[in-house]
Amino acid sequence: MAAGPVKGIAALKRMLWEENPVIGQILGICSALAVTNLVKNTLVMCLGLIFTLMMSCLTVSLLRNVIPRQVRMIIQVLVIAAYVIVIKIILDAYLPEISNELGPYVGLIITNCIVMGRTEGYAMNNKPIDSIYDGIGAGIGYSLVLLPIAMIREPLGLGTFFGMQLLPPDWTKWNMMVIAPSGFFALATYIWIVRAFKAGEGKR
Amino acid sequence: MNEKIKTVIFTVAVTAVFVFMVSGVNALLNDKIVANRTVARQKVILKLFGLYQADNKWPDSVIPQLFASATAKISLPEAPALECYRHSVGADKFFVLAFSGQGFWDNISGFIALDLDQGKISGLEFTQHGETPGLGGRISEPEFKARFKDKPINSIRSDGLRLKIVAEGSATKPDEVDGITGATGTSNAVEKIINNTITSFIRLNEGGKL
Repeated sequence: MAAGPVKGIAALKRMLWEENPVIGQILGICSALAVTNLVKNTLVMCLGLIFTLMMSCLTVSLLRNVIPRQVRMIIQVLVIAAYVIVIKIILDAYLPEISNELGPYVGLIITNCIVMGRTEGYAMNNKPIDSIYDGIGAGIGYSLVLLPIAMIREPLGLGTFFGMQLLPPDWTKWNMMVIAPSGFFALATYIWIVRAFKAGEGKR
Repeated sequence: MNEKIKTVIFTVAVTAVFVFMVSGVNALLNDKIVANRTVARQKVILKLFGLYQADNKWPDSVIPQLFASATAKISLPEAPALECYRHSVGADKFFVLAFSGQGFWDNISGFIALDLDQGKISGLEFTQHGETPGLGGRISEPEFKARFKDKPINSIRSDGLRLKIVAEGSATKPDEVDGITGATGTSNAVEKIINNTITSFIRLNEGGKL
């Protein structure tokens, strides 16, 4: 972590690259593996996470001076869970098919370590505005990993992109890319490449 | 002691606020969610009647109307819990009925279309199950559901079943259906549910009164 508190837009920016929650901290892997076989589902998942992070960080930051230390984690989980349930209800109402396909994964945002990590690690000690930047940054950082992976998995596995036919119809579908194990390979390869870049950056 | 009481009060208060928020959102959108579920069920039933395909891309608003005009619910006094539909016009013996039963993990429910004129299953759809994704969860794949199409329902095998689910790839007789490798529990549960559903429906229909 950087020395001293990071404020404002810098709190957002560092989450995109230097402290990207997925690449740097290997958090949020479960959903990264599960939902990245369709770009559309991934996008909804990313927006859901960004919303949850933003709202949870804001709420926890507003309450940070009144939350008793012993129950701070319970309160954080409660806040996160409440927002996630709200998202689930909204999806059920307006995007029932996507909600159905995402199944338990929307609910599992509650257990996404990124959210709790940011509320406990940043929002508990920082002002609301900075916490919002931090939360949105972490959410976008997560999306920057998931979306490219989905953009590789969906075309290779199903020949489509965002549900539209991308590759020629006689394309041999790589079933492997749709099922969970390929998520491991794709994510690992992605992290490998990004970290190789980062290492090169450090040497300069 | 005072600190502890404050902590408890704080926790309860925060919980109350968020419970209120969540239930408020739920109350606001509940009607829409219920409507969505009804449309989803109606789509499944219409699909089994051959009146709807997933690639039709019809707006959800036309579904309830189509459902009401094309299908008729059958109610039998001796089986009040039965959820069964037929074409609203014509007297063909084509029925779509709801089934439900214990799966390997969770309840499995759905609809099955029976063509009694031909004595065959016409189609099968699952609306809810909690089977292991990738193993038992494969029951909701079109390829698995298609295995039941055109299977005979009137003959009873020597083991008392109408349809037997056998090891994947080994179904040779018409009354055998390929199961799912790695999901024997789910396969057995589906076998039991389907057989029970068909048997109880045929019993209700004794004498061809429907």
